[in-house]
Amino acid sequence: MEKKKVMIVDDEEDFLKITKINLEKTGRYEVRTMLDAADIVSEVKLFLPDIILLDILMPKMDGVEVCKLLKNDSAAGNIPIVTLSGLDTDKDRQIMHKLGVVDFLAKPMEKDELIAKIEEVLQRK
Amino acid sequence: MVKSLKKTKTSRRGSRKNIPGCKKTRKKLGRVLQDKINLRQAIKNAVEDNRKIKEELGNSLKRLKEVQAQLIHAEKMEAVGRMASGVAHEVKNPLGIILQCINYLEEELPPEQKDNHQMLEMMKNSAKRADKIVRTLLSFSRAEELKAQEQDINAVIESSIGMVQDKLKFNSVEIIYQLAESLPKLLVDRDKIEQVFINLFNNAADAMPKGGKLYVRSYLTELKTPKDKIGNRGNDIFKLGENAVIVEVEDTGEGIKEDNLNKIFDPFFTTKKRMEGTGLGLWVVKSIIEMHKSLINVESKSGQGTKFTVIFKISDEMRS
Repeated sequence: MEKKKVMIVDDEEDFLKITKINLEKTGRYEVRTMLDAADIVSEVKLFLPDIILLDILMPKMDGVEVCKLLKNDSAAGNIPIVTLSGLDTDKDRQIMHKLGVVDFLAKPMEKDELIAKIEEVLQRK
Repeated sequence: MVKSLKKTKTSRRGSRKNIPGCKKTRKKLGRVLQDKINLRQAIKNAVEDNRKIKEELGNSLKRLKEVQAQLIHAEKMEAVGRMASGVAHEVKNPLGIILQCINYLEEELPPEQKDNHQMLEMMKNSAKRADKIVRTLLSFSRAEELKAQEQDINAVIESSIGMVQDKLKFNSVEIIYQLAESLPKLLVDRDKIEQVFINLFNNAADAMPKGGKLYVRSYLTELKTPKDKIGNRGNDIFKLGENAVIVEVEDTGEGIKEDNLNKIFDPFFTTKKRMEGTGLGLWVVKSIIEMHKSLINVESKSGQGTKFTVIFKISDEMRS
């Protein structure tokens, strides 16, 4: 079975490490992590992920800016984005939904919740 | 002999009348006496006025202290809200890492290491408990998220009971419904009001671990007696003569100690065991009720039971 490509963008290094380990351990995903979203568009073009998991509050470039950049790019614009955030209010969701985010997952989440969400979004594609 | 004596007295009196200046002196004396009476009355009036002023001053001071306490409380709540939003992101990230690390270890540990699995389970429960506290603080720090729609309050009560029925049954609690029919619909956020009732019913169940009775009442009433936030003062929520829907949740449990009664709505105040309560349940209840421009009161007697009374707004003010 072909592995699905997952890209995770988050400013928490340990979160990236453990999420990558847990997802890759299933044997179903190939994971690329980014601690800084500055080069997101070029990285996406190189890796061509099936799904992007994106944090909202990041110091250099936040989730809103990242979404705008990706959605304005013809190659990256159609990749589904799921936000992972500690601040998961209706208002945050509305803003991100308008920017083309397909789903949301509130932190903290367990591995099984994350996998269930990834599968749900990939099936919708 | 007697006759002659009387005559002598009369003649003496008569002679006094004729003393020059005596009439004048008597008049003067009368005036002095009247002045004395008037003065006494004036002093009496002044004392009474003074008593009234003192009473009014005492009432004003009491009211001032109440308003001051309300202001401090409101500021405290606002500060909790601000703090909650600020720390949420910082706390939720490490919690996410902890949970996923636990998930990893659960799979790596051989199943026969039962003690270690138990440790992981405890760690997971604690992480989730911390998350629950942050979520609760976050949820109720934002008044603008109220999604109010017209609701039948009895239906909201019944659906809330359904969610805690197992716990009430387990504790052998008998539920006695006294719900009035044809109550006016209330403009409320159903999910949040359900949360209010669930928290109140849960607390009632906790207060009656060996069984008891839970009375759930709803009725329409006209507010006639001035109380805290009910009256014709500027900051009163309800005016005298206003109609309101009342919901009472009364248990026959262990009651709340008098010293704790004024603290029960404060965040992080709990009398439950450490892992059983976050101390946010009743704070959430009060915050939700205040978001609905309504009131909640509590009466309790240690060893006899507790009664929570929610006074719901039914006027158009909720629509503003």
